[in-house]
Amino acid sequence: MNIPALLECLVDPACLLTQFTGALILAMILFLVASGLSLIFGVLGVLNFAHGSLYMLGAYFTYSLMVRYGNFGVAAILASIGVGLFGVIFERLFVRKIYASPILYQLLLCYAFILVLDDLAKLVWGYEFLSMGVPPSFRRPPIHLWGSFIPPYYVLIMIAGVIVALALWLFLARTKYGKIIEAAAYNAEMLSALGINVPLVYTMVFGIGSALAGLGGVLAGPARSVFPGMGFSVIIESFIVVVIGGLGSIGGAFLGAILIGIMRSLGIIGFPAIEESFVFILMAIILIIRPQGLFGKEEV
Amino acid sequence: MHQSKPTKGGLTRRDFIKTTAGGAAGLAFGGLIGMPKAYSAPPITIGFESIFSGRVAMLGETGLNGAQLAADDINAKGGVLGRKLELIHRDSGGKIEEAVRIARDFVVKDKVDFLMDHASSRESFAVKEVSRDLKIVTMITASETTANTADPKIRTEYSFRSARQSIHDCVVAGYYAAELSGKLGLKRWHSISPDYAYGHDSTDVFFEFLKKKKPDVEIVGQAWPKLFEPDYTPHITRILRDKPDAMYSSLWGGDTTAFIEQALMYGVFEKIKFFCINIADYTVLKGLKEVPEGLYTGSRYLRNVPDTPANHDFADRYFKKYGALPTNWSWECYTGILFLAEAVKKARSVEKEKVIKALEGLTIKAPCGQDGTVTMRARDHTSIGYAIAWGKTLSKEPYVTDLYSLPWKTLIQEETAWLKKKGWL
Repeated sequence: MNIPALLECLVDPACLLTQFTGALILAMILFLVASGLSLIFGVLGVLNFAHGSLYMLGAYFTYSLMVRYGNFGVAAILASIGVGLFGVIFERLFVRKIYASPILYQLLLCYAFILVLDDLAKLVWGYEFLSMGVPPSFRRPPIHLWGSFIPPYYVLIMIAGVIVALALWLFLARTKYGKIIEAAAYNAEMLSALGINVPLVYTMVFGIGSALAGLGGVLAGPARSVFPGMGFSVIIESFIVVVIGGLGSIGGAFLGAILIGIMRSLGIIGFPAIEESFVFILMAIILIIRPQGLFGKEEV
Repeated sequence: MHQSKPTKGGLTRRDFIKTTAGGAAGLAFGGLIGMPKAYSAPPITIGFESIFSGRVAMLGETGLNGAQLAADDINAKGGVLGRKLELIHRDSGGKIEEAVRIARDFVVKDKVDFLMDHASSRESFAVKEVSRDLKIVTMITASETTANTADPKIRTEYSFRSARQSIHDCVVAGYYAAELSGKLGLKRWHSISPDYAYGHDSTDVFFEFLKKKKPDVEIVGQAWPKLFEPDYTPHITRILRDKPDAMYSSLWGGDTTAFIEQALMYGVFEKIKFFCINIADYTVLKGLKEVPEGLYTGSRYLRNVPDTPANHDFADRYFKKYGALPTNWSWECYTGILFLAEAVKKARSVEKEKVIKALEGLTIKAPCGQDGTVTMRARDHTSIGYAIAWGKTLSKEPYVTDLYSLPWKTLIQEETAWLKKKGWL
């Protein structure tokens, strides 16, 4: 334990800014994955355990598109759309069949897909880890702001994360389609009676949720290793984010992700030996104080 | 179990948490079980247990490639005692209980003549108990943790190790770092290594030898990310804050490439000299978008370490067969098969007592040998004489330059002193 180091960092702008931006990087990737997870759960009531695999697909798609087109922007957009389309097909062919089945079936289906997709990745891209490196235009020294270090590529991730969060919020809260999705979450039968094609809404939501996970993989890909099974590393933390933020709440996922990022980033200075467990301690405390999560609605 | 039929949206928060926890446990302990491949009536069979799925699939794949190359070479020359060598391989998925089950099945059901334990130390320590229990001669080809053969309480008379031994690598690393510390004035040291047996073992022993040779160095901090950590950012920013002159790392595989990519973004290597034992392996070198110049690394496997015709030939033949250069695991398995084959030849039998006797003190010609040979030390059943070098990275072939190595005489002196201090000798 090193409390003096933590206090010292808290009053030093250089340290604080470096750690805070570091926290935001973890948070933005987590948010992208967790928001998709939360959206799908909120509307469809499906616990998509295979969500981490969609994150993995996003990274692999980006890798292949980068090899082909050499342009990160193009690769990023196409890869996210690709994962979204994969989600649409996954929902149409498989998830749809188990909406009314016991929850165990959902778990089994998703778990099966984790294994299938990991093996598929191994067949298509090989068993070795791949590394694509950050796009050339971002390969430059870190930005120094008040003595802190901020890598240019991470600025891109932060901006992308915030834009997606805002866009998602505006879409859900301010557009007709957003209202329909919200209505589908509350009362699908009534919505159906009003002449809205509810299964289509579900498919779209699953597609959007998948694309968000895909975008998480797209942005993380260049900075992290890409390998079969990489989805595992984000899925547990994403679930924690969703639990902390409140099931089905996008704002909750955003705040939850930032909290986890900060806990890890500052925890590592103050409590390097037990930094990993901080996230779980945070979850336990929030669940005790507010069992429905920060932004969750109380169960009836 | 939850038996009611929840319709859409009918999941309660409690269900969610229960399922999440269940699923997490499933993911953590699950993994893939490989399809067993059974061959019929092979003359001399070797059961090869490793990890062929998930994050470290390349451990199994490139190790088996190395073993198969050696077996094919031997079979092409008529096998051993006129009998063909055959490998049966199975996937433990990295699970200890699965590795143990596979090892037992190999012996009991498949009646293999030898076991090849090509998994991490976690599984290896458990598989060794199978070797002890079922009295099966076992070649350990991946576990490098020193205690596995060095600790008299742990080792068995049936297990032999053709893999590296962590202590040997650490002695060279410590000497090398001490020499450079003197030259470059590296006083403040940090480390970043995976938080499990191998990471701690390697890092602690490295610092022990560095301090022995250069007592004025100071450890200003240590980072222990978990194995397969996807993002090292918080660790990197903390290390920058601690302002060390140099840092040591025993991160390996994809963890090494991820760390290097992320550290590059923070300009870490311009401020801190980076000593990582595991960069110079072709999977890592090829995995990096661009190999940064001026990092210090140990040689896992390089075509030019040792720079001998035998090693070039090994690398080239491997490349021709598999379309990629060998890994550290490839040569460890290759050497393991050579040891077994030579021992059977010498013993003129596959009987365990005779093979054990033949293996003890056996010196064979091997591409990885510093002087062209390696020896299975009789005392502790571990291989000595393999090439170990440290050097500075280059962005292109041969990737590492200014190679530094120690004579095995010095290595063994240091190892002996260390073992005595531990009470293992």
